[in-house]
Amino acid sequence: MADIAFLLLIFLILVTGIDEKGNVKLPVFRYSQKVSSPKRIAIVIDKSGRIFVDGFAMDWSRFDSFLNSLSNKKDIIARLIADSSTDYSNVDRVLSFLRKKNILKIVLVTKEPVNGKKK
Amino acid sequence: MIHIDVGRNENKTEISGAMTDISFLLIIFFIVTAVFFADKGLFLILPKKGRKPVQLNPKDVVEVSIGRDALFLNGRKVVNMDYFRAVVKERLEINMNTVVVLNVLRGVKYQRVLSVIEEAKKGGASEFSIISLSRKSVPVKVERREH
Repeated sequence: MADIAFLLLIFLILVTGIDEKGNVKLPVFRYSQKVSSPKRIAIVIDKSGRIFVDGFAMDWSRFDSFLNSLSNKKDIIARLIADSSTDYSNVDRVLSFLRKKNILKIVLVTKEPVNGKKK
Repeated sequence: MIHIDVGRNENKTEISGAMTDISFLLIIFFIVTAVFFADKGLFLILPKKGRKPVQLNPKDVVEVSIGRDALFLNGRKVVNMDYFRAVVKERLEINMNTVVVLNVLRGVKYQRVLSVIEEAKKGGASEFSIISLSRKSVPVKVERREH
């Protein structure tokens, strides 16, 4: 019984992930689609435009180096978790960095409106 | 004299039971707090680096400038989103290859851009080109995924 319990526990630890959104307030978007992929990177942009990858804050040069390290990987989907009130120029800059490094599939993570109405 | 130790296994049973309880508690904790690897959002495909800008026929384009508090459609200020949506729908009925070009002006918030994309999608648009003030046009295809 204990063996089964530990196996289940290990399974759950492996297949689930910690919520990376943190304090970011997601934008509302009605037409969101479900996207899942094992090859993903999560990029968080907070309200002031700071970038976080895997919980670590990065400046643009460090972010560039990080993306360079992914250059040999194919079919990566980048999850962009940006605060709804951040300037769009911050999002656009990240998109252009991703495009330069040939990471072309992006998910702009959003949340659906509650009861059909926007918050 | 034979010495029989009767109670030796009792402790092992207690420890085993406690470990099972702890493991189940941890399982419940992970089930409740964890997030599975499935996101919801707007799926984008960016054009490849080095790809030449696409020349669009003005007839295939609905150009909208997104300001902080206003929306400008073909140079004119749009009063409400319903009108913008109706224009997109009308243009798509005439030409289903219509591209919605979004000029994002300075200081515009991310939510605002998504709200405009949402209205365009309500009107049936699926191809977008997003131009931020200091950057070249990046045609962005919004992909529909069937599940």
